[in-house]
Amino acid sequence: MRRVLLLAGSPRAGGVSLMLGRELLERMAALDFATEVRTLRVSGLLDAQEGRARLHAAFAWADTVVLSAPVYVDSPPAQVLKALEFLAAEPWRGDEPKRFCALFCCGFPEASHTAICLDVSRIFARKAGLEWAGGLGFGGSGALGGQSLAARGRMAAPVARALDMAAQALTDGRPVPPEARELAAKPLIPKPLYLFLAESGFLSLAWKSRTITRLGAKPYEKQ
Amino acid sequence: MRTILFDAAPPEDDACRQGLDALRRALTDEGCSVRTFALARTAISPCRGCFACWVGTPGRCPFEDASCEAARAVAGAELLVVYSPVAFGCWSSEAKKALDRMVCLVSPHFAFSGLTRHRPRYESLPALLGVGWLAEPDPEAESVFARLVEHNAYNLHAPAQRAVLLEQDEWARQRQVCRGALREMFQ
Ligand SMILES: Cc1cc2nc3c(=O)[nH]c(=O)nc-3n(C[C@H](O)[C@H](O)[C@H](O)COP(=O)(O)O)c2cc1C
Repeated sequence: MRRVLLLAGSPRAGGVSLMLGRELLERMAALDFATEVRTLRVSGLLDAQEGRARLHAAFAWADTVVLSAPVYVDSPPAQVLKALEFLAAEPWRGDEPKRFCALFCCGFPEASHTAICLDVSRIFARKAGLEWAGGLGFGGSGALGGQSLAARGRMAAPVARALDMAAQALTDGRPVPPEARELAAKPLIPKPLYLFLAESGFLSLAWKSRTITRLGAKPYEKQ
Repeated sequence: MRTILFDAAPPEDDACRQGLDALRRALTDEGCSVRTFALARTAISPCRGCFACWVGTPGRCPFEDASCEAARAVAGAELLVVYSPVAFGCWSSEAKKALDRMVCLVSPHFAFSGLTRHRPRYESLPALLGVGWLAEPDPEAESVFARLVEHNAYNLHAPAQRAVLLEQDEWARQRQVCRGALREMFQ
């Protein structure tokens, strides 16, 4: 039986990274009915002893750990780093090898903005005594919304295919193949269109918040 | 030079704090007037990823804590220095809790040329010196850290950037390494 732990790294319950992580785990569960999955959100988890114990127990239980998180300032969010520091403080020395895989999504259209996060994840795996099972980096998360991939239709087909390939590989005990990483990195829509839609999204939110004329405010300007 | 130092050295780690001490001395040697945010003793809550600092209260995070004062200080500085243990090639979570909250310093609008980034909110933002502390050599982590500082500088529109790694060494040598980086940045 495979035991898979999803570590969800976004503070947003309806975020894209959580959706991508869930989609991967659903695929793994569908491929092998004996797969058991658990999800733990890292937001606030380490603030109390009870949360630290939960993370410890879930980590010890799993044979495969999947981190799914957003890129914040070119790297994993603070809370994700805190969880990784916590886990690496006692490197895994169990009899069974434990595998670690990472999914990162970023708001800019180029998936290359996830590269540092994936490198950090690989180094974490080495430091924490885990087997690095590879990862996927998704650009243009604004085009994926927080819904399921199915709701995004054909546009999200390369993402779905990348997750299919990753799920198959992890179920077979192989690392995520490079073809899956290439598919995940494929832009879903042309960059100019993506940027136009993302700008429009911010403008419409600002319109609703009545801040559209103040978007360029400089509250900390030197006097 | 108006300098802000984000100090993410763990209070109990003497070897790491020696590097911090050498860095501070190098900064004063080079004529920087330094204001320090000692992050281990500063309550900054993690970014909630809500983008309110872009659309709700433009330029300012509505969840007020010490990060707002830090952002104000960084906006008015000529140099931002971040000192942090290197965690897997990255900033430590302590340094990152402050850095994640600095997105209010850029605008929600995109810059359309080159690799995507946001436009700056302020006319000038500070240069970035990233100083990482590595308890033992790790070439893989070193190269990731250098790339990270370069990317952060690009996205924060820093006019100059350097990544420096300090390891177990004599204080005087650590100070020299930091001075060298500062001179290279501003020569
Ligand atoms: C504080 C903060 C920093 C961010 N920094 C980056 C960045 O450096 N590069 C990038 O491409 N996207 C960046 N983003 C955008 C997020 O990666 C993107 O919105 C992602 O979809 C959020 O994941 P979630 O939906 O799972 O919360 C940032 C977002 C926030 C809130």
